[in-house]
Amino acid sequence: MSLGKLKAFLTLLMALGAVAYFGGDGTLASFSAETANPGSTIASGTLTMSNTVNSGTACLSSSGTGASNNVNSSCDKLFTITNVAPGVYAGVAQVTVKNTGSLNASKLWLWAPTTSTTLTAALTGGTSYTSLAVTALKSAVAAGQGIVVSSGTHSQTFYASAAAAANATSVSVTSQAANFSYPVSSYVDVNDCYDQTTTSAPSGSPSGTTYGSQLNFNSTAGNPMCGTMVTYVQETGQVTGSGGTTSYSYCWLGNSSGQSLCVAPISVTTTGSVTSASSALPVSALNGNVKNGDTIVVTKSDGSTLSFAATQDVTFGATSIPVGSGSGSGTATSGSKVSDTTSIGSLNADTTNTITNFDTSHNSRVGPVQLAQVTANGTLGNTGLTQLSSGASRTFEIGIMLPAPTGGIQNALQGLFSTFGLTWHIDQ
Amino acid sequence: VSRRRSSRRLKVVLAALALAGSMSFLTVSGTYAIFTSEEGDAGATAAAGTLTLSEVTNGAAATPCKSWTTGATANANTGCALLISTPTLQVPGQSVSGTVALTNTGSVDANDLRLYLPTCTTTTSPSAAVVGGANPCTEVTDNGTPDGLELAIEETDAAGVVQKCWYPVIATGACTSSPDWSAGAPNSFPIFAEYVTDVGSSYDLGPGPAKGATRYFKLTVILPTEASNSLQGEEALFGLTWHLST
Repeated sequence: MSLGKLKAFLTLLMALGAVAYFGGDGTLASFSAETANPGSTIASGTLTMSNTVNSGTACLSSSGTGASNNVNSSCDKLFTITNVAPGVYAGVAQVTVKNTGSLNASKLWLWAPTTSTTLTAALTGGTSYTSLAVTALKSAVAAGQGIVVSSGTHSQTFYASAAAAANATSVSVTSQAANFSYPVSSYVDVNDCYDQTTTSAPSGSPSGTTYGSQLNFNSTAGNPMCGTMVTYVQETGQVTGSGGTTSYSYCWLGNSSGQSLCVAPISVTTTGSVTSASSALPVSALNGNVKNGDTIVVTKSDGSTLSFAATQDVTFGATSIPVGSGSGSGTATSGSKVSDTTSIGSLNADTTNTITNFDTSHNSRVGPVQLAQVTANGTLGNTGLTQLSSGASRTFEIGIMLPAPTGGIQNALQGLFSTFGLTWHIDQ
Repeated sequence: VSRRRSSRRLKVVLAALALAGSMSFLTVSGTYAIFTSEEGDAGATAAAGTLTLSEVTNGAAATPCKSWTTGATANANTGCALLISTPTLQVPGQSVSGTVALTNTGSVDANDLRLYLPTCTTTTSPSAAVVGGANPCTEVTDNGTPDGLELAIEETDAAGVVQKCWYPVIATGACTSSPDWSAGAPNSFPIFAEYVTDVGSSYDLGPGPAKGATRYFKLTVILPTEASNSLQGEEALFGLTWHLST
């Protein structure tokens, strides 16, 4: 066989092999069966929340002005209170927090919006510093804000001497010698509350009325008003995910925290005539709590007073205060001022529940307040219980007062204003 | 032998990987993102009001003395004008007066106005030919009869018309028209000077003024008709402090 014929023969054999390999197999008969499950989907739920201050518009974590990555730090202010005098109830705001997502939130938290970072350069004890080197700030720092540097049991508060932008890696501070050698990575927490002086008199004031920046005895150094004003957070009830309601009370923060009712002053007026023989005082809706035994004073139009002892606990929204027989003569007409001198007295002596202490004791890093379910007045359920079900909402009253300690002169606080906030947070 | 060793090595490696895998599973699981949501009610403000005092002594034309400006410390101004600038009481029965207009220039109402007399010292009158030796800042008694200086504190309207007597008795109208004043009130000045010396012992002049409001007072020091001879040639130097509080 010539070489050419041999090549042709081998080529033919390869072709036959290929046909047998690729083509022949499909022609073999066999039984078969098949089913398919096409188009399966899996969808994630949502965990979002809304926040409504008083009767304002609900602020959403997920959308709207200020919302980013399901965090909205720009919800309504709790207060814009002006012309506060010591010993007088400054005001209260109601906040309703609602789970607007489809998933239950196992945890609901409350904390002060403190900005936390760490030192990137150590401090040497005894050396004075006018700036702190830190990892990038998560949010801006205002001049005057307290900056707490801590390591172990050591801590020291510096004060920002100038504003610093978010992401800044250095903060200017009022010169101060370090009280300890703080190593790199020491915690740096920027307190939220800070003081400034007012630059105009309150609206409607008589011409020539003084304001903060005119005075020479009201330094903002150290944020004294933040460190004096006392606050409370009172839960008053909730709407469950299924639409049911409860009105259990729990004092989360403030004087009497851990009990059913915070010490929360009232500032209301009578809605009917009152004499010392009255067994209940008809009043406009309470904006605080009255505890059994508290002294309730009704001031008549001539400045004289009627005094009573409350005979029952009553809380926010109540329109009647049960009382025992009172003292004082005459009749207080509708519209007379009603105050709870017991609660005012308690807060006048309160140096613990200040806004500064809230900032330092209850921020996202230290002591966040986990708002467990309230299962009865003054009683918490297990922390394993869902704390904000899908569709559920919980309502809180947040109040503040500038105390007037007995014998104390508060002139250094004249014409100052404090700026502060709260953060609400839910977890899956 | 070498295949067995390899196999053992392979098992060891696989075991190590399995361990590393489970460790990383256990470790990393904590950092898996869960859903969270957060909101902040930022920027709440609470502003304190002000309580400041402006004083005009002896006439509207005078420059107000303010508690909060130059010369003042901690909202107290101790450098206001003299209340009584012609101090000489020549003979018993003479009196000398000064007026004060107090305006609450703050933004909050005052609940209380008080007055006290922190300092009173005695000296000899510059032109005195005879010196009696008594201290006009202290109570003076002759034969059991009080006969020291008298003090009257009266509230007036803006025109200077007396409305109320505050001291030594509280009564409607001028102090001298009160029945309790009819016999005068010898030693009412030294009693005030001795016992009303600070905020704690201060004399209560009632509530107010409200923010923007003014209260007017007239203070009169009298050498009583029955004044003791021991007061001859003596002089009292004293200051008064007006105290406003919320």
